[in-house]
Amino acid sequence: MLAPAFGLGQRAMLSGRVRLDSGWVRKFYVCRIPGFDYMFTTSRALIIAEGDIDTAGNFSVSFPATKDESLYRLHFIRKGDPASTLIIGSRDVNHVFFIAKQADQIHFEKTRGLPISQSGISGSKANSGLNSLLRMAGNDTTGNNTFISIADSSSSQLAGLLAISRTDKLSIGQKEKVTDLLSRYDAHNAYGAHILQEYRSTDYWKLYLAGGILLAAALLLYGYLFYKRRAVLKTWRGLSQREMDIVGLILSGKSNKEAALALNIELSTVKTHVNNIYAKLGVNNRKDLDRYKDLINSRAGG
Amino acid sequence: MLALGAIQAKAQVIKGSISLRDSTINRTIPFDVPAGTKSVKYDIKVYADIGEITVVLTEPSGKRSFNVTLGTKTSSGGHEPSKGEMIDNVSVKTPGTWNFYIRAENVTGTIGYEIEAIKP
Repeated sequence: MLAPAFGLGQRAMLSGRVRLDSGWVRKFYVCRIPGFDYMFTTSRALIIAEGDIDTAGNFSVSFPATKDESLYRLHFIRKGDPASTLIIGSRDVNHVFFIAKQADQIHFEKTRGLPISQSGISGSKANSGLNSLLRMAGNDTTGNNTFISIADSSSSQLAGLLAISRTDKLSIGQKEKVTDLLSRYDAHNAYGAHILQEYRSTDYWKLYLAGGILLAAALLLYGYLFYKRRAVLKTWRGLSQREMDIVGLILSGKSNKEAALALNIELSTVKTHVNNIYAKLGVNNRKDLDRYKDLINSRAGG
Repeated sequence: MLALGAIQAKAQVIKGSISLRDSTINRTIPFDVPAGTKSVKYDIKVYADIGEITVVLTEPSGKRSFNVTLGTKTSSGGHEPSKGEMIDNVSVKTPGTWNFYIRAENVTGTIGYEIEAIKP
């Protein structure tokens, strides 16, 4: 039943053996699913291959496949239903999914009396992973950690991405794990494009946040220094011209006596001015006056 | 043109049918699931001759029980009908409002639905 891989070129092969009851049409259809959001979309335009099932229940078809893995859906229809029919439910389904790439040979088996089941798909490790994943996804109790674990151990990037797409409301630790997993994946994988974008956006968001915090801190520091300088300036402006002259002389290293000589005033007058200066500027000694040094220098320069 | 069939909204069942003729609708039908409900049983059948229909059933948590889209376009630009059947009985974790969402764009087709809360 299986055709040799040699000669398939840019195609893959699907074969199968199904036992359908008389309510079903002896035909099968293969859809290529362009994205995870389309897994339950049906339309004639999605069907890429179809064929007849022989009286023994066998079928096969080669279909166009890409070099990278793609997701496909194989479905069957009941009598009276259009070719693009999708039946969903725990009691009855009419489809299974499979992963294939060029030269792959996929097989599907359904036994009479049993429903169409995902476990009937075989043909590659990717599909073993896909079968496990879809079985888990159908279970209400399957949580994020299980999906992340499946993605971590999956040999198929596509199955891994599908597992990640099933996660919801991730914790910070789970997000970090997923981000780490995605860093190993090909950014050009069409199926994961939006997932990769979503997590990269998260990274950008973190960068923007860190940048914002740094900018805010810089603005706060600048504001603090600006207002501190303004406060110093305001205090400085409270001095008389004579007091400013005396501060200038003190900061240039002159003693009170030298300042009195320079300004041609009494030493006691200088001492009185110095006491007033200390009181106005809120300083206790000459060393404290150093904070005004830059201000005086800049004013002298300007 | 849009025709609504008989819509029953008894205690814990909603049931109805919508017939569409080149119609566009965007509608959410809420369904209250009271405490003590064991499961929700649904039977939704959608058929489109022309256009695109999306039907979604969401649980109170936002989890989707199904999200199905039917399109009728063919690769050659024509139209072929599409059909969807969603029949299941899903367990209820938490009571609350389920929502059956329908979006149809220029659709000629039918939507039939029956959603029931099953108590033990």
